[in-house]
Amino acid sequence: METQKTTEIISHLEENNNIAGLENLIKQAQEAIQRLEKKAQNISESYSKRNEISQVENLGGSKEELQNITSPFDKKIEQEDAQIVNTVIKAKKEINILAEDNGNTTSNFETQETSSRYYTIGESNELIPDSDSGILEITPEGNIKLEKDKIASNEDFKTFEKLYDSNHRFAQWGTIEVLKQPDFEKTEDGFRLIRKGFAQILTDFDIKERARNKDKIISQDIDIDKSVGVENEFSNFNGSAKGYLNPFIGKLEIGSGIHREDFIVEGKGNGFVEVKPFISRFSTKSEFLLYYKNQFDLDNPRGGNVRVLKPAIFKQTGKNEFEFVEKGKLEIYHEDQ
Amino acid sequence: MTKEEQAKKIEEIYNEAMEKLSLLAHERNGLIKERQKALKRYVKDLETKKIEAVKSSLKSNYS
Repeated sequence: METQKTTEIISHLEENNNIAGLENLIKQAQEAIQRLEKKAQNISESYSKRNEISQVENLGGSKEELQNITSPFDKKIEQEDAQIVNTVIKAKKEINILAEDNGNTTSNFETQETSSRYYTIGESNELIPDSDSGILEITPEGNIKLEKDKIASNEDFKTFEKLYDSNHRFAQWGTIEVLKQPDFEKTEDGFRLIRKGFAQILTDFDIKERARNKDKIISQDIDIDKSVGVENEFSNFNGSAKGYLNPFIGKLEIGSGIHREDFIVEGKGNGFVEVKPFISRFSTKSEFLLYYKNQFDLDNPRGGNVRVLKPAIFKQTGKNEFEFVEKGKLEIYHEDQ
Repeated sequence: MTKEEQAKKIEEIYNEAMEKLSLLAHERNGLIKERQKALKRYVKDLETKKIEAVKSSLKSNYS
């Protein structure tokens, strides 16, 4: 990546008061992320295990013996793959934070002046600073999160439910994965929770399965079959009115396992699903460019309220596998429109 | 942070991640080669056993 060149271009554009210069950071960030994702994808190409079992069995060996020999290597390779994914996710997060730091991001907490980073939630959903037993943390980037990222007790699950909705009807132990952050509003005294976020709890098995399936075109982390009430493995949405009535929040995983988490997925019949952004507002233009431009067209992308003119269409090709069919269309509008 | 500083920082993050990915790719390729070697040894062993079994079968048939 010719960042030095990019830096010079930005500098030149800024000197000339060219607003387009501000967009170069976004392009640079996009390019960096795309290259990292591509490299990760190339590295993690599956190695062939084709015909191994039949070859061994033809020679009088057994599947069990074969597994005893190969599984230690397979486990180590899985660990390497997980590290590859984590490396890209970490870099992507850091790059996104930098690219979106244009001075016009709308963090709820950017004017936070209190020295405390830890809070509890009061009876009226107000945030109460509490450095001793705070259950929430406001990060230096202005994001709010539960202080713990794992659930290991009923108490943890109760705390989790204060801040997030989920598909889990009963307490479940595991790692919290936030799909939609909760919304807070500024009050005279501080902040108040106005809308819960949405999260899921991943067991170790879920995490392993995800690592195994990360080369799918698109996958749903929420069990789509259960969500639409269809029993057969290669389900479509014809058989269930529930599928039409209950859209759910899903995580779209694209290509190399790098994904944007905020989508609403709704079955439309014949195996097709409609996909819409979950969020109703882009804080910056970069939010669209970084996460949604591959699935949606948008004239004059910028920060503002989002209206879905046409959802994107995907077709289910197997259990938890979807194929992109048609781009959707979004529109930015103002409150008075 | 100025735009230049942001761009430079993005470059640093990118280069660091690329370097780590190259290292992980190298390790991963090494593991795949080791796996293939182990598999070949096992197959070779099975072939040897099978040849021995055929030989002894032939011997018993023609002796």
